[in-house]
Amino acid sequence: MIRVPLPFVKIGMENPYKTLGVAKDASDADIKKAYRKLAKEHHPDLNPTDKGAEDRFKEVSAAFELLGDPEKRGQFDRGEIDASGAERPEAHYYKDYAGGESARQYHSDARFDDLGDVFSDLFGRGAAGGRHDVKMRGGDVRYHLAVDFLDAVNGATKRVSLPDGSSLDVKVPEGVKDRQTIRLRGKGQPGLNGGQSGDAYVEVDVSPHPILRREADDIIVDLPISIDEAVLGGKVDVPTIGGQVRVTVPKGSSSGQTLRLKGKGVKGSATGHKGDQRCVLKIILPEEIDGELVSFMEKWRETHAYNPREKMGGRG
Amino acid sequence: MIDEQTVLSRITGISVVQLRVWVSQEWVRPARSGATMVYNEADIARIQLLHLLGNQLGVGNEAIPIILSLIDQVHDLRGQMQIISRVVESQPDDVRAEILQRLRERP
Repeated sequence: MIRVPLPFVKIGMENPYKTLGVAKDASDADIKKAYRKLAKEHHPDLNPTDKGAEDRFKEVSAAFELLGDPEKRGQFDRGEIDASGAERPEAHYYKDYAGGESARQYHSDARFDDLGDVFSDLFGRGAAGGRHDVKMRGGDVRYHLAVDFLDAVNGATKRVSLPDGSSLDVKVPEGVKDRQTIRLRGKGQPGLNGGQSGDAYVEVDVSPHPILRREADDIIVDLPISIDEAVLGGKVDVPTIGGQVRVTVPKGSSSGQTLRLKGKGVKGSATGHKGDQRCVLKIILPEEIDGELVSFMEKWRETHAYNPREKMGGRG
Repeated sequence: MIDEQTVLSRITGISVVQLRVWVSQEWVRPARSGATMVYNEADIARIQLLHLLGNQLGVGNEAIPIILSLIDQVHDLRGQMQIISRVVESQPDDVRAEILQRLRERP
């Protein structure tokens, strides 16, 4: 039996010329014109209520991606690339964010607490006076504030300078988390006709600490100890968010063991309780292994050898 | 946290000058961090929308704020409608039926 090679089959989008509704010999200007017309009709941001718009626009923009670029168009016409090669990565449209928290800076003044247009129509009918001097709530503004690790866990007051040259004191609450937003009531744009001022939203960006880490309301620190401190125990100084404290390392401590300092963590905003600080011990050998240590170890090993990997099934 | 450089690398076809004009016109409103701007995903999507309107559809700079304002109003109204829908939804069955009936009558 002779195998006949299958003809080249284009998969994915149908003919991009058909999608844009232009002839195969259409000029570049015609293609652009056709795309503009279809984009106006089908772009999801211009048709936010039309569920099919997104799919249709995707097809249109993929077709234009291909035919709008003379080089790609030539390759397509010669059969060097197929239409599916022009698919765009997943697009995000403004309508997917509008109305959400991240688009707060674009919300206009209509608010439930101040009765926006729709609500004042609903509930304001028959109310005295006209709608001539409508009170308008001022717009919200958004700021970004870099805060030191220790200021974030302990709380602080930070000054933000505003574009108009004035400044705003922001009280950073104790235990604020990275990316958390602080709302300052009435610190946004002034209202109209005696309307309320908008709010300022300050997003906090906590910079990391060189030594301390935060996990929920606990503070974690790697605590290096010497070999003699590990064997004999001892008192060592440990940094905490409240300054140095003296901690007892128990006799016979191993790397990886944790000393818990109760109440030395961060005050949780939800619970109001302070977390703990966890010090993870890490035995550090002296920089130079001297002859005395070596000969002691050699002697010690003869009579006291032990296998810390027993549970792993390893052998000494 | 997205800076200007990242915005420009994520959206091909816009220039730094163009982006700064859009910010100075307050068509895009990134958060300020001292002298620099910090963008979020909503800002990026809005820049993409401006790129579509201004660069691809050929909408002039005079018309853009009008279009943006209308788009913002549509989303505000949609938000308000959702609040009303949720409030209606939370009503007892008979109240909901009454409201739906009245809506059908279109007073």
